Amino acid sequence: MILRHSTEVNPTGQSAETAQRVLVVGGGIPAVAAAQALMETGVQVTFARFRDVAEHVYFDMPAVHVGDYLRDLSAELDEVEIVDITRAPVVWRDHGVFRATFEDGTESAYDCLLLAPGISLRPIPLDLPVETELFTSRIKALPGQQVLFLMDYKELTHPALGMSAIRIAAETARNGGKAVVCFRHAPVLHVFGEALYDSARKDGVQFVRYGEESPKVQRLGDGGNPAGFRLAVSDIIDSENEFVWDCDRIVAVTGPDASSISEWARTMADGDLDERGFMLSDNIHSNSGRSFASGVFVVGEATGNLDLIGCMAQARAAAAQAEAWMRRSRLKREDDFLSVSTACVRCLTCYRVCPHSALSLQPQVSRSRIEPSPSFCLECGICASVCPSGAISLRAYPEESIAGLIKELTPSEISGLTFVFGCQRSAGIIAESIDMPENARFLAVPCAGSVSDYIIWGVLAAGARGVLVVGCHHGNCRSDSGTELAAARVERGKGLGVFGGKPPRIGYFTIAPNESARFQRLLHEFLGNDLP
Amino acid sequence: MDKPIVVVGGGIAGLSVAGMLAGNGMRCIIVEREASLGGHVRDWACMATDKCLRCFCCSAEDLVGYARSSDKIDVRTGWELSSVSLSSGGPKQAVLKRIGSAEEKTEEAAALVIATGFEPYNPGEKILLGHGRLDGVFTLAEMDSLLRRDMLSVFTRGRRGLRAAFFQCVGSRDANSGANYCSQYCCKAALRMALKLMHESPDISVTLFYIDIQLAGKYAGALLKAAEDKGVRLQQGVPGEITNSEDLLEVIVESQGLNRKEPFDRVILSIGERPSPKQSVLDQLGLPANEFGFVSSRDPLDNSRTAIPGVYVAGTCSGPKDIETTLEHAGQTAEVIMADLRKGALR
Repeated sequence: MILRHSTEVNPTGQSAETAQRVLVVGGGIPAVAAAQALMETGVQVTFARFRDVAEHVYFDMPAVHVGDYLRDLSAELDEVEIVDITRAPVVWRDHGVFRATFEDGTESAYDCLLLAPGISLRPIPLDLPVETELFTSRIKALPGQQVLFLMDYKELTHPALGMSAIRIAAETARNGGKAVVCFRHAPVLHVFGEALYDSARKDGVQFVRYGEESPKVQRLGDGGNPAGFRLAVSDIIDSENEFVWDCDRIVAVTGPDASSISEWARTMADGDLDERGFMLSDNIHSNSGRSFASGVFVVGEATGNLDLIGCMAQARAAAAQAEAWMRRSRLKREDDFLSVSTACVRCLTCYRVCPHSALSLQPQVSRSRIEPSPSFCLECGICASVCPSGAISLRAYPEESIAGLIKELTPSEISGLTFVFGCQRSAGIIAESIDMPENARFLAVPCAGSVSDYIIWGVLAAGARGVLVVGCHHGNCRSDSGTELAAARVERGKGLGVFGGKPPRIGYFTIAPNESARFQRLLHEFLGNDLP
Repeated sequence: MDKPIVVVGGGIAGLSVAGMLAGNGMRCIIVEREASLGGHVRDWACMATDKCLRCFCCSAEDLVGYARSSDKIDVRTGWELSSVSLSSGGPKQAVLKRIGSAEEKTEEAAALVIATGFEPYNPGEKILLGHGRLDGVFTLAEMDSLLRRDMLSVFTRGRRGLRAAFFQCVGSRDANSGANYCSQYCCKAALRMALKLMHESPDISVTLFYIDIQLAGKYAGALLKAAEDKGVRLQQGVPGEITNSEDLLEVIVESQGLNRKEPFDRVILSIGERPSPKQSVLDQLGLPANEFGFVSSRDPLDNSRTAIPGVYVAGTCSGPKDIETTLEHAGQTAEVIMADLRKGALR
């Protein structure tokens, strides 16, 4: 255990130091690569290192020995403070920084977190013989043996792992063994993928491709030593006949198992997951490795079917992203664009909805307070849009500018206009490059989720013909829930209230910044105009 | 560190490197031959159905906007890199030339980034597939372009119940035409396009013919699952010959060792990524290329640096990639440039 330098944080959270501080938590190659990359760019890095990370999923590169490469990288971590851990530190947000308490009770503060939690492989399917071995980076060539490498069984194999298995199969075949690789899809990643496949074939590896019908594998004999197995499979390419082969060992090649991602990582990244359970480390707007949770970056295989080349690039790219993020967040810390006034009724709605964890709860004996952390804030305005007492003041929040605009217009001007509120990250970009129809007034907002009920109904009450809210596509909202929030408001609004005997004209759709033509079609449809 | 970093190529790779360096306080010059920034991705379409399918196409708009507005980035569209002089420590001077004129400008460069992108495979080379000759045969890029312009009707021509077939690896994994490699982007792009088409016209039925599905990269598993759930028919097979018969396309599919004929209304070809035609400045630099013509990097795990100190690569000029991988590669390039400059400054 290396003792950490204590990082002085004064009560207002302004660190006395100027260096940027990152806590890397995890193990394996992506964690080491990210720590090294951050160190190289002059960031102060603490690497909380798990000695015993989940199985690496990698394949050896031609001309590079991965083990040596990893050792080299580790040797270069001289400016990194390494803390060996068995348990993830407890991390929380406090006054715009992350505080971490380690298992030895020491505590430090950081500007940002970079997580590389690693992942385990999917277990061997239960209907294979119990002696079946799982293909991991620890499986070496098996000289003199008859080995079956079984891929895509039940669920598709991760291509990088499949290529790794093909290399081991080739080495086995070159050393007096016999290897059969049985797959549905040949893995051919990178420009050298095909060459690997061809050279393995030359080395004597036999490839058998199966289709819908799964191969059958059974144990031979009565379980005596050595075990023997029989493979029976229809090869859909080379012949229609059944291929039957007796072998000594079976190695099942699977892929990353999203359900094995550690709980600590899910918690620190606020649980953003894709449909398959991999960590949604980025959305389109926030790029490499950044999660919705402000200041948290996730890299490595927990983010999907990455191979080693991809992991290295992702880890280094995330390091560059993290550095840029810290630069911006440091500037914001000094700014006063976000504040909570004494009008706050402590309903905690803002605390619950903020997608970026920029509002924290300061527990107090009498009444707890909401404390804004500008360094985490992305200025989406969702908090202000849900605040029942108007206590949140955010510079980018559009309410006042909308009120000002309405004041400038005469009632007759307003009555002919539909107000279009579009997210500045999608519709706002389109609006800059097209001519708006005369019966529409476009206003860019920081997020569709910032368009409150108050704004929608205020505009309608002023006599506007209609309100249209345009958000980013679901899953591409930089503020995670902003687009859903906007959709729900408009949907609810359609069923509410009647203006002059007519239901309110309010609408909502989603768009991406590269859908200018579609935006114009949908806009004119809503306005009831003919398309120009 | 006042000298700028010269980035050759204004596609998403070049824009991303410049954007990230500028975000970390460094000055960049983007040199782009074309009149506009964004490269191929500027013609591609959003693949969102009822949710974002993470195609990353829209990132180009963000990146172009950032490059245009950042005071750290000098955008030179309609310019090219004419020559570079090297010193032992890296590039020294980059001579930029305005295309179609004699105007030249010499910049002291701190580093040079090659981000010249790829060239799409021309499916017209495969005469039997009928692209350019048969109305119903499209490329993935053409479909993108139609969707981008909100003109899917050019594809459907008002027909309902269309049977569409996707064919993968057209010009990829193709030893006969010197491209025996996987283009990396097309399995996921075709799955997204299939989902997009079924979303836009729900009565369409889609068959996707593959050689091998490559489930690599983030979100690949989710896309395959979504396609299976939506009823995309996934079949092994490659196209032999496509002919017009009355109102439909007769396709000879080589599948599982047999040739069989199947009728379709539309065919979409997933065309491969080829290296950009060689640029004279790369020759002048003496940057080595791999056997397929992509710019070689130092080694596979350090693939943003080249053999020449101070000269870096980003994106598809160093090998085929999808958008997300390109952005990550570009991010890595920015990181190693920052690291190298810092080391140099410390020395």
